Amino acid sequence: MAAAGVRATRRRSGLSDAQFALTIVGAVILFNVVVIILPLIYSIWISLHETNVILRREEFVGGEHFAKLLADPAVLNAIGLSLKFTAVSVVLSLVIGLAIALVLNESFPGRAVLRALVLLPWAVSEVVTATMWIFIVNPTFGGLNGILAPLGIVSPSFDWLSERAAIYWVAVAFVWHIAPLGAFFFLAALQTVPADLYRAARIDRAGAIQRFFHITLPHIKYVVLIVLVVVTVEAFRGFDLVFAFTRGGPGTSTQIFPLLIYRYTFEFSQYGLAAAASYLLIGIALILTTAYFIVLTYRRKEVRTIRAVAVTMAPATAAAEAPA
Amino acid sequence: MSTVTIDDVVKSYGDVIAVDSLTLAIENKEFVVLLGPSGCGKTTILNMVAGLDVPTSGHIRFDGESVEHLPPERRDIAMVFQSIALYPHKNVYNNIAFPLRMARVPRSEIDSRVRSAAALLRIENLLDRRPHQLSGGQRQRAALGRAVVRNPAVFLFDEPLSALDAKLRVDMRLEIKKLHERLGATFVYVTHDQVEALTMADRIAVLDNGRLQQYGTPDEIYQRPANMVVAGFVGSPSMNFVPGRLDGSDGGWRFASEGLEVPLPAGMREHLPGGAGSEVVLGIRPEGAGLDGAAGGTGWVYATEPVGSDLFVDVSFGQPDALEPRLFKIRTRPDLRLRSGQPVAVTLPPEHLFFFEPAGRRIWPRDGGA
Repeated sequence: MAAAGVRATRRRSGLSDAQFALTIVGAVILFNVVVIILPLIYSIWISLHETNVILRREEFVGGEHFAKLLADPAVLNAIGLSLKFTAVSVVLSLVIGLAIALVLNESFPGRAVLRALVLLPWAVSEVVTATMWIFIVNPTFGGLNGILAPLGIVSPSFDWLSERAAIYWVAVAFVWHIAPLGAFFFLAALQTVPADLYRAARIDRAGAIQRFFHITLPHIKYVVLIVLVVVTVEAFRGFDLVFAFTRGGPGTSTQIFPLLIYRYTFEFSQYGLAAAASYLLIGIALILTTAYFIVLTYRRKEVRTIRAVAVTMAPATAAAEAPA
Repeated sequence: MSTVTIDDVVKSYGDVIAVDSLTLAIENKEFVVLLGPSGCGKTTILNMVAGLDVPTSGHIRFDGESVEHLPPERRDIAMVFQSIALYPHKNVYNNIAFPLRMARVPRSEIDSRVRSAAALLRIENLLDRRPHQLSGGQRQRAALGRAVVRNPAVFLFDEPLSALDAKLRVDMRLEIKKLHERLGATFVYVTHDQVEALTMADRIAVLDNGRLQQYGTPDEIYQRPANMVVAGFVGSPSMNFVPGRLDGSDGGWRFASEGLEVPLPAGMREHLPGGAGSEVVLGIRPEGAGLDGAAGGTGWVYATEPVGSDLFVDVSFGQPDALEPRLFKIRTRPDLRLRSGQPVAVTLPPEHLFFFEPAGRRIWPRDGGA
């Protein structure tokens, strides 16, 4: 119906194929300009100005906000926490995601059901995930203490979310949410490894671990790279889960960079500073992802195109969601 | 050195029996081809010999020792796959070196062995290329190199040439045969191509439906097929089969079928199990029958298929306008001029005749005799 309708419209309007293509592509470009490009440019403008909300006045300050941010210990602390949160999340989700995928790639009864179930945590929203983890780690009514305290492993009302440990718990909750996505990618990649390669390797006397490092890993290398980039960007600009879980606390022990930007915007109304901080965040994410590509694709020609695509995509998605 | 014995092996997957009570003895340094149509169980047998699959029952013995429960790495074997299965992320050198590295061979020895294997297969100049940069034939050579470098007692081949184009297949056929001569190892080779089997094998095991049909030299398989399955599968084009009856009503013994009567060869009568009227199937290879274009005949030319060196003529018996004509393929001289519908006489020399029971077993020629 839709296709026929399109064809009928085109016949009536008498557009050539090229005109038709330009029309529909143009509409999408226009939409993106309005929704992404213009706010992006506007946020650059904001970052270079000091906005006084009460007097409704804007004053050009140039790079002052950036200088101020880089000198602020609260900002450096938030960046440090973000890097820690990202590092823990990336490492754990890669290892766990790959482990899940390797298990699900084997054949066993109930595999199809399990494959569907494993993806569920990713489908659960981050706020719900956070709420669930609050129920798990809460000292008084939390499930973890409920299990461990009667066994004498921890004291009753043991506080899991101490200032030192909280950032790791937040990362664990985030891994619970994001690792299934990695597993999903890895599983798809694992299924493209030709079975004969494993058979050949067994004949060549390679053990299971050697088969993993000589066949599986080289084969799924680029998917690992993609998961690495996705999880890094997701973790580094992640806001919902941490906000819902701890609001940055206790103290500022989980106040990762996006949370700080949020506070600049909505608590302190420091729009210029917030916009500048958003660009700082994008910059760091960009450096990280570019570093992955350079390290993992060193002296490889085939992935040039992927690299270009990912580098252009990373700031766009980060900017779109960073509060400005 | 190694003999391979497959002893009463059964392999079933649920209700499906892939290999049914197979017994096969492969001598040391012998080149044995497992031949059969797809789905006949030949690859399953090879996988069990390799250790990639475990028999449901029965034994596989290397030099008399049961190995059916040993994993591949504990058998002295190398295998070449239909998909070639070179490691795509490694160059040719590292592909060939891989089994040696896994066996923890010293580095200096690895290098000399890889280079001599590469020299044997004439791929020294390709060692730093990766599989996707090689042609089909070069890949096949590299895969052979990876097998040869191990210096195993038994080489297993799973249809290694079926991915290659026709000309290359002929070249590689010869190469594998020479490789066998040079290495003096036991070769077990699976194929569905009867020409490959006939040209390379010391002995051929013909399989169908998971059962061994016949095990013998290429000559025996071709000259004395055990049954209609073997007779129909080996030889190209296939043997002609004509179902009919034995007729001895007026003294002389004849084979009679619709539109075709053949006097029986001398000495045959006393070896036939049934008397007059019993059903038999006459078989004759296209190259065994002859054609007399001049004489008024028993059949009609249905179609001709010139192949350059020969002319294959499809002769139809019975009604000329039958919807499904009974065809008989005959190889003749390429200079014979025939047109469709022309009546021809088919000559069936007694020394080239085969007779089978309707169930398939060969009853003529007798084993041993002429």
